[in-house]
Amino acid sequence: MIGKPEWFRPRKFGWGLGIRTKEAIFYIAAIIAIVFLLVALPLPHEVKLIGIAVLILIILADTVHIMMKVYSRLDEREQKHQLLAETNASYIGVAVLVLNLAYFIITASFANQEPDPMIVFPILSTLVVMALVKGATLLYVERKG
Amino acid sequence: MKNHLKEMRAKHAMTQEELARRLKVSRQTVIAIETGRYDPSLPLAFRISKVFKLPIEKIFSG
Repeated sequence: MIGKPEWFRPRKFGWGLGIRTKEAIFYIAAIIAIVFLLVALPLPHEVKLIGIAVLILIILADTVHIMMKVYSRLDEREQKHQLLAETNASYIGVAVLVLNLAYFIITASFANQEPDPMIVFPILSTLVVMALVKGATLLYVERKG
Repeated sequence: MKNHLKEMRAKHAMTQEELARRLKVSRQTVIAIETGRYDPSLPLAFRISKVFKLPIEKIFSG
């Protein structure tokens, strides 16, 4: 892999990786430079697209690899902090989704209209998927003991 | 839970950094245990007792 896990740390706000050392800045700068180079080079459009797609795949694989290493290196206290933060984010996320859903259904009913399925369906499906993931996780960990 | 980690560490002339490395935790975690802000798990408590070659009850007390 290209990037090293010790260059990064878990992100505080949001998900993914945060910058820890100057090497991480060079790593990101190098990726941006390669993208600009690919775009600027006098190459056929298809070659540029393939080049960018290959670069995205490489960066994606590298990022996943770095993230797995960075998060697995957290000690028990740091893992507890991460779990608490994820739980809070998940609770607030569910509350915001439910409030949005309620708002769209109520405003539609006041206007004597059916709620827009293009808005309701994504919110509802997200809530259903979240509930399924929670249930599946609990079943798995309870079985594991 | 009270603990004597700071005294034990001082007795063994060990830095927080060194103890953290031996316990495979961050220095912040060592600080949190020493100041009583964090109670370690049983496996970590066993690792601490192994480092200082003392039974757990000599390091931690309710």
